[in-house]
Amino acid sequence: MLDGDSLRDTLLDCGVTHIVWIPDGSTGAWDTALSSPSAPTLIRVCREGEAFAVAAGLLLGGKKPVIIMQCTGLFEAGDSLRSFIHDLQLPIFALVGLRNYYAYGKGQSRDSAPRFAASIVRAWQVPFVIFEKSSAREDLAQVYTRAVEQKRPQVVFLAE
Amino acid sequence: MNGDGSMLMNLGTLVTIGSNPANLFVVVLDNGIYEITGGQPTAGSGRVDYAGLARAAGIERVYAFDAPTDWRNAAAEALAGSGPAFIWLKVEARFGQKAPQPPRPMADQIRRLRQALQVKN
Repeated sequence: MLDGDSLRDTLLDCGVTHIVWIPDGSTGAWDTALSSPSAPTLIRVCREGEAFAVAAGLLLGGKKPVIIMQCTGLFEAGDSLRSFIHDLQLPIFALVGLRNYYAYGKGQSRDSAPRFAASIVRAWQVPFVIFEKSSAREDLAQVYTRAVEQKRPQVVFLAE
Repeated sequence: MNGDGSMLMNLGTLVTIGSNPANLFVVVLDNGIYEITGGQPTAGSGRVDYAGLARAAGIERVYAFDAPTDWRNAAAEALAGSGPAFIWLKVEARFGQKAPQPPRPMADQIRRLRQALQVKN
């Protein structure tokens, strides 16, 4: 998985202006990098549905936000996602921690979160990719750039 | 502009606003009911201190009004200057009214908002 410095630098290179964030057990390690003065403006929110609302407002105001959240929060944020991505047609970009992805794949976890994550996002008709450990910052830059060029939403699952 | 029912669904936003000061004015119209669903009371109806919640969340400019004349006299001050500010208006519940509809399609509203904000991209 990307480290915090790489992620921050990639988002800066992509022109991202704001990071709307609720940490999970893995992305929490990015705190120092994301809160550094050189990072895009960090907005810590309380709930994932709120993260979509804040990102939507920033997009409407001409900014370029990225959301970072955990997958269980994404599940609860479904109505917010539906409203802003589908009704308001806003191309929101979200990085979503996919907890226990590897353990579940090896049959070592009974956590149902990795079982439902892809199916739920597919049902919500949002394009998604899964970034595994081998994914590099260039991959993220490419996915972000393509989503912006095509003016469409994108979820990037970060396999944990 | 928020109702009390809507505010209750995301009280954490008050903390977000208090932690990320922006030029934002939150006006809560508290009628104590879910008017759109027929008038059922909201949780804690008549007992929740929204001004206290806003202050405790870190918002410094907080106003509360329960009389129209007080609101009329103080509205200019409450809405002046820079945010964040929180305004709690206790209003009378009215039952049996038809729910208002948006004045125009959402795409038009977005276009007009972005135009007003002079957003080009």
